Amino acid sequence: MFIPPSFIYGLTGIILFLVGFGGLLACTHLLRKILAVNIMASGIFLILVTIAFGNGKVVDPVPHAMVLTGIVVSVSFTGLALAIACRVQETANFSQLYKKKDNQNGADNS
Amino acid sequence: MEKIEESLMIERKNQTHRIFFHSLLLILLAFFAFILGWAYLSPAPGSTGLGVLVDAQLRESGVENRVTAVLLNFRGYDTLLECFVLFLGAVGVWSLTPSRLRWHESLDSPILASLVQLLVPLMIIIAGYLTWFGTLRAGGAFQGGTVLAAAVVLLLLASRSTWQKIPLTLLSYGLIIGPAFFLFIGIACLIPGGNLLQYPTGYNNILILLIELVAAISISLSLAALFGGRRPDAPNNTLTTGTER
Repeated sequence: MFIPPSFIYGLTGIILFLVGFGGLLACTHLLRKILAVNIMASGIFLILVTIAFGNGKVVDPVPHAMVLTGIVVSVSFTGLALAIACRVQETANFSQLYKKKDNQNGADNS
Repeated sequence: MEKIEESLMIERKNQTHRIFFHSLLLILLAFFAFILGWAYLSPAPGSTGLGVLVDAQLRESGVENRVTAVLLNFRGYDTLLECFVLFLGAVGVWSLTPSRLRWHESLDSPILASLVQLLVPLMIIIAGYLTWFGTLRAGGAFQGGTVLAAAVVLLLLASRSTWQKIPLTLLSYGLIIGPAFFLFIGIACLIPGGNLLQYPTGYNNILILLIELVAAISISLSLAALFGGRRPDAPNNTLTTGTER
């Protein structure tokens, strides 16, 4: 059975998006959330580029342009989010949105 | 004895919570996987994408690179707004109180310094080339701007105090000049009777090239400002290092 390479790319994009989305919901640490959003964005970019490839005859440049803008916006978002996360860590002295109860006395192991 | 029982109960409660949360997450993820897979696999009826359309109009756009044509001509407003997003990101970082975390002072390593001396001019040339070449082949303002930003980041890594030496007015004007110039050109297009960002025929190429060059400067400075993390004139209060918990 022949699997076209674009299908594998699309599947990888979907998996990346799901991994990032799961991480965004499951991780409590702010830095992990930011990283998860980045992974999600990578998945979306991969899906978009794969869709742009289409049947391979005429490559659609519009999704390419969207991905190009998207990458720069995601970098900008990451920078701003990291700065805000730093502020939260310093002012409120916490970096996790939710702390496990059974872990309160022990060392922070995440 | 009571204490142990109590802690066991809490443990059990936590476990049920965790199982509930994880199963909920799995259901949500499966739902998203289904939607994404369906959207990806179901072919749009009769759609061949916009590639044919772009190719047909490419001659009128004034550039030979299809992605650049889409970015700066056909969907110019996207790029215009994106330039402002980058600018706002940098402004957002600047408007926060600067981090108290100590900046690691540079190592003052002669190897690092000589490497930076070698690389930064080269990267500036590559950035200019990439930006200029964007009208013909792969490249453009974003690629060139990113390389330029990488040069600035290297410079900052080699010597952190460089950031405070950059004059604030120069940096501020550099940040806004790209979006402002783009917006100015876009509005100026209205004067001959065109639409917003509809370049007058014959001036396409030169206008796109100019916008790209100016935008590349602003993009690189915005990215560098994000890395710098603070206004260059921000007070350097590194009295207390960040209190790790």
